[in-house]
Amino acid sequence: MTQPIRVLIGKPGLDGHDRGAKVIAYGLREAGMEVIYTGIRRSPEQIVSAAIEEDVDIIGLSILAGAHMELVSRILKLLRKNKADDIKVILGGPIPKKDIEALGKMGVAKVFTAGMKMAEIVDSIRRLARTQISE
Amino acid sequence: MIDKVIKDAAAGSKRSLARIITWVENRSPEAPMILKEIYGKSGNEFSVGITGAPGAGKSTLIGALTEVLLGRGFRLGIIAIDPTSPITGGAILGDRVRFMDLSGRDAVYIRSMGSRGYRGGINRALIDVVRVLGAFGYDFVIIETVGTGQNEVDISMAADLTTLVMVPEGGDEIQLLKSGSTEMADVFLVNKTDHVGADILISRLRDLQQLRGAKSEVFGTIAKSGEGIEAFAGFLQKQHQSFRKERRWIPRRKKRLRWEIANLMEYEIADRLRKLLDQNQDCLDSLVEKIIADHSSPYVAVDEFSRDIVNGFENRLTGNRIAGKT
Amino acid sequence: MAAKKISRSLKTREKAWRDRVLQKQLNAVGERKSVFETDSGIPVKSLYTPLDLMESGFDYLDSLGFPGEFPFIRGATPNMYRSEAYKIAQFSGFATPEETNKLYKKLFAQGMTTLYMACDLACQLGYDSDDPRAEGEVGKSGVAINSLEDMETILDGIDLAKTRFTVVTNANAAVILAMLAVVAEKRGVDKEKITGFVQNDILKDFFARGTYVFPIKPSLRLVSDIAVFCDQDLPNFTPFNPISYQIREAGANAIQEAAFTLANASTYVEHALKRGIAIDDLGPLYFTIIVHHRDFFEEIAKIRAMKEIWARLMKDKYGAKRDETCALRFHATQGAIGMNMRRALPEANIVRSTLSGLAGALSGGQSLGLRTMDEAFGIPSAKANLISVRALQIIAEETGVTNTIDPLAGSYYVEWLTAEVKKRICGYLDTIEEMGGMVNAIEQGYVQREIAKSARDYEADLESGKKITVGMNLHIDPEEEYEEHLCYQVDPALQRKQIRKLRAFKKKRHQKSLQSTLDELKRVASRGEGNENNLMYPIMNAIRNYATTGEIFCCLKEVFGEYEQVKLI
Repeated sequence: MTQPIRVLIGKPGLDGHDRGAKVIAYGLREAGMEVIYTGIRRSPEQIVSAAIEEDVDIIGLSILAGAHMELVSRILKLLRKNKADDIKVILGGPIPKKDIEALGKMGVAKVFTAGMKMAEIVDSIRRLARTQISE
Repeated sequence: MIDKVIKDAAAGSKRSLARIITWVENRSPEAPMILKEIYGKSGNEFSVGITGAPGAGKSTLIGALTEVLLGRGFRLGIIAIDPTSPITGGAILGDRVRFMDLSGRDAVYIRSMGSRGYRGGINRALIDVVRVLGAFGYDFVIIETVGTGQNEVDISMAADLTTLVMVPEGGDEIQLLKSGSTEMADVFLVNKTDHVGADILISRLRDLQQLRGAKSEVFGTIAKSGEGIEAFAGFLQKQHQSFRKERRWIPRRKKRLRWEIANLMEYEIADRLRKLLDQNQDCLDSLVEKIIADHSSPYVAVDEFSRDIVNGFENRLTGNRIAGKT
Repeated sequence: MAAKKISRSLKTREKAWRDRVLQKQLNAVGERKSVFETDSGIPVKSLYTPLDLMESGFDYLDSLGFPGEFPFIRGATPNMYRSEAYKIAQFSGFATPEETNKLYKKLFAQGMTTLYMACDLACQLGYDSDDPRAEGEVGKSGVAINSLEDMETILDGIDLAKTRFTVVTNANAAVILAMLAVVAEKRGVDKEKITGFVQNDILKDFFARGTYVFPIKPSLRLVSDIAVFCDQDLPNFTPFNPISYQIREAGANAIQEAAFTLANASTYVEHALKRGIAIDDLGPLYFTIIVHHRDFFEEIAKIRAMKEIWARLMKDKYGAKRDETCALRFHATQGAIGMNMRRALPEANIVRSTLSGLAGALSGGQSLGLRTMDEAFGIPSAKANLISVRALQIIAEETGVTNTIDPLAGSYYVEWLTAEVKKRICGYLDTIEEMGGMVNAIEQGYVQREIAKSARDYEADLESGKKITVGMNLHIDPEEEYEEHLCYQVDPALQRKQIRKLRAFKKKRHQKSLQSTLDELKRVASRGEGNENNLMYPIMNAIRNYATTGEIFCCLKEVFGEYEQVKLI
């Protein structure tokens, strides 16, 4: 059998709006992935240690309240510190364009903004998981 | 590479430990080597199954129990199992939500697993994952799963002790007792003893334990406030100690070993056969032609093949018995 | 007798029209869609006539009545917008108290009439600006409020006796209200003149918004403490502001949104009654209800149905003696993140906002507020906010929809749809009642599951094209083609300034008296719920002694613990 892609869906920071995160989690399950859902209001440390213990291929973050630059940069730093930066990080939320560029440079593999279709997200995760394996 | 990962995991790297577990869970090519390598170091872990219906308070209970056992200096592995969708193969592994406060502590390792639904697979993977955790120094391995009969998880196969968590609510639990789905449980734990009906439930369970001739181990807790957790933890600790004294050859582990051998044989043979068939597609084609030409059937053709294999296998097995006796 | 006759002849004529006239066009061109239904999935016919009203049992006096009279469907006040147009309350506040004070002064100058404050997430969850958990969040989704000093700065130069003070709060309602009360006390403002609300609606956080802190039981205690405090100390301050906005944004459809909001409100009323408040002192409540441009008429029908259900609950179930107690007054606000605003061609969002505003005006909202065109990017810019204010002013002053009271009443479609929506809302309310009330329904995960299902269906309908969002899945506007230059950016220097200010503030306090007020707060909290243990008073005392939001929360967490999240299934 093929091994399911494992994705951690996390909501770092204090934002509690989890509609998007849940819809994505269900969508990824429908696409045959194993989704570890962290719940809301998690610290970067909690998210990274969960991702490591769960040995996920992808970390999907949902941040709606504007704290994405600070939170994502902390998460990426923690991944590097734990030699786990082969885990790809993707982000969803109302992210301004100039931040998207900056996040890309910081190491975020993909940013999804409102209105992205589930199929695109699934495809993108599959591609990222494959490149991770071939690395 | 495998050696390095094992070394790092032994030095405390959770990243490496997690990778090993993935290999084992996925039955990756690395898995057999690793399992052979670590087998001798495992066996001192004591695995506790915590099972019960959704809403019974399993996660809260495990959280409280973990705190107590950590406080007594133990290292704990927690495996949380959620059902895999039989249609898509995907799963939402949601138990992590309840364990986030434990995440990141050195002496705890938490892993979510999908039941993945392949025959015997989850039990196979569970046994192996428990073994890996044991080999890397975790004293207790707690396995959380939704009740029995609903998925392929036979928790008693991987757990040294199985705890069924129940709550006194609406009388459904009495039905459950009658239905016999309590048979796999070694210990009963009534959670939320502050709810109405807890006393009745506990005494019914005690009766049932007596009927089964088991020592009546029925615990009552209020996991939310921590009430009763110390006593349950103390019980587990005692079980762990006596188990370590007797080492691993208690009947349950023998039964497990027997199951493992059978399962491994089955898996190995099937696996090799599949590979062989893949490599020799042309032979399969000629078999097809032969069946058509002879007006034969796939049943007859397969019969001939398997007879030879089983005969050879039987000779080895019985030979082993004779060799074992001398 | 006469009605029966009309009904018969109408039926004959309608059938004739369908068979001969309508069918001809259907044969020639068919219909644009195979199914026509409302946003929540109610099937919609091609035409509504008086027959539909008769069938749904519509009777003018029974079903509608007059504005300012029970059940207040046609309006909470007799003359509605002809005497006073809806108030404009744009949700605002960001960065530091100083910046927010400047913003409010400017908004009032532009014609805004109600202060509608947003606190940042750290404050909503009881973390001070210097807490590690607050990193990156300070001043982002609202203003940072750490102490009495901050509240005094925000309200500097604002007349509390003349300004309606409304705040979106979650777990921090008691602290924010206590700060307001202490500021008013220091300024010697007449308590009777203080109006507004602090939302005080915590249940929605457990299934929609996620900004809970304490477990459900102590959270409800705080809700009732505030209600009792208002009853005794601020007689014209609204004790609860049940809000539907967050429920819809979490993925509920219009029916669920209405039902869950009403169920929350009922829970608060029941608790307050248990605490000894007379129902006629409690009401009328002021709700906040979302209005969407998406399915204009269903939104209006939803609000009309809510008004009737609420009025009857207040009278029949809770025993209100005065009719005015039963009126559902509300602020109409627009959805943003969940289902509405687009990033590509953001100017098109102004149209969405305007249509939502029109729906709010036609539903008879006492105050209105709109989202801004740049909401999908982040914090609204000043210009985007002004456009929304202007849209509401244009609706009030230019379109003529405010010339007469409740102009949509009697519309065959609207009245039929209202009856249909009402039936469905009541279905949910019955289910919740059978489950033993809203708290049980939440604890059993029922509400969460219903909402999650709707959210998934909605997403699937957008993907399949069953639901249309112009620019997204029809007439697509590629996002890359649009520059964005609209959003407001919180200056990181301001965040650092807020933290510096907080640290300096903490140093100049009288430690001993502060500590004794915090100890007293813990003591009262651990004594359990009751009017003699109302937490508002020890919280105010702590605030008078310059306790911070974070310190007060720490004390309460120590006693109450924190709510544990439930598993996603």
